[in-house]
Amino acid sequence: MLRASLLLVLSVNLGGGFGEASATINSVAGESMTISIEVEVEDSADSVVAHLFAPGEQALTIPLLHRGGDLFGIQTELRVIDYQVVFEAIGDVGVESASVSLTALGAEFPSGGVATTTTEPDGFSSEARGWGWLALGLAAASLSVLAIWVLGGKDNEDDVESESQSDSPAGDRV
Amino acid sequence: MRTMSSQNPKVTLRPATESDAAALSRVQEAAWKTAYSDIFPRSFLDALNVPESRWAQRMSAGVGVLVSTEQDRIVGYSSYAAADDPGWGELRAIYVDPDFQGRGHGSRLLEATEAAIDYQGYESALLWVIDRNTSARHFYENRGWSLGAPFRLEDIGGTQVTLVRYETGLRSGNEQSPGPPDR
Repeated sequence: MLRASLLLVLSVNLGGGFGEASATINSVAGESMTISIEVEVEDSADSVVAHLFAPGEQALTIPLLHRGGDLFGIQTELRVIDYQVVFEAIGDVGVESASVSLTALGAEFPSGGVATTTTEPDGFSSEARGWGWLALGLAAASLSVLAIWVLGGKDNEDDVESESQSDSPAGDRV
Repeated sequence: MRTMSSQNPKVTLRPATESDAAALSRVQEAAWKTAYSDIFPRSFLDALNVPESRWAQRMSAGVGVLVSTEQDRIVGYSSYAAADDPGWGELRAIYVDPDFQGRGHGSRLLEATEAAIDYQGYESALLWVIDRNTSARHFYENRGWSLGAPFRLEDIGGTQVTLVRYETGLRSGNEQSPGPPDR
């Protein structure tokens, strides 16, 4: 009960289409941590993803699971970094939250050795973020082209073919 | 916020990295040997070897991979990409280590993968599954996927199999600028 109260206090109301959001570090092992991130979406959303940024780190986009009602969340593994988080709700009208750090969401990092990201780059507006995505996409595409070039066209084609054969039976036995 | 979830703290879901290659291969091999024991010859399954190098190549080629972990061990994964059919995203695979099935990893992976495909802007998703893999078909049917009309034949390891297509709507069909790689 006390823990729940603390968590209630440590969650933050994002506004702008989102309700309260929180982040709770469950465990830390070496350079990685297990963390729960949750956010409320005020309007109905089909899907919600969390974008995570940190200087020098590859941007991550993590899909959140629907936890009933307007609550979405995920328990995931991250490097022990105070990432900046932008939530994005996907629906009839897509909305993005303001950027907020994991610390601001209530994550309590172990003392020492934690990289912080106190602010986004200046002027990192939603529009700029869109261009940022585009730049990241183009960079990824460039790397893919480079990878194909390095691997050699024929080898890559063979791999795609074999991958398609081996991976296509999307079976699960849950 | 109403309540915080109280799930097993050691069960996580995250995008895969290239360093997960060995575990991904292990899961796929283990899952195949169980899921397809009545479909493919034992000799084929025993000899199954998924090269670790393939994962980096897949990811570089735009295939998204999510992993489900339990007690810091990768016990399942899903992969997704653009389908051959324009405008469709494809769930390419969901596999869960047989020792960890029945614990919700498959359901979590499926939901997260649908969200990831949705985020990429697709209005619909499809998957191909071996027609005789009834447990997988029930899994998808129970989660809103419906049988599509097309089917195809493939030769996998010398065995002719029929693949049936399942489809699902992703509700929003989000339109947006290209996002970062989902990993």
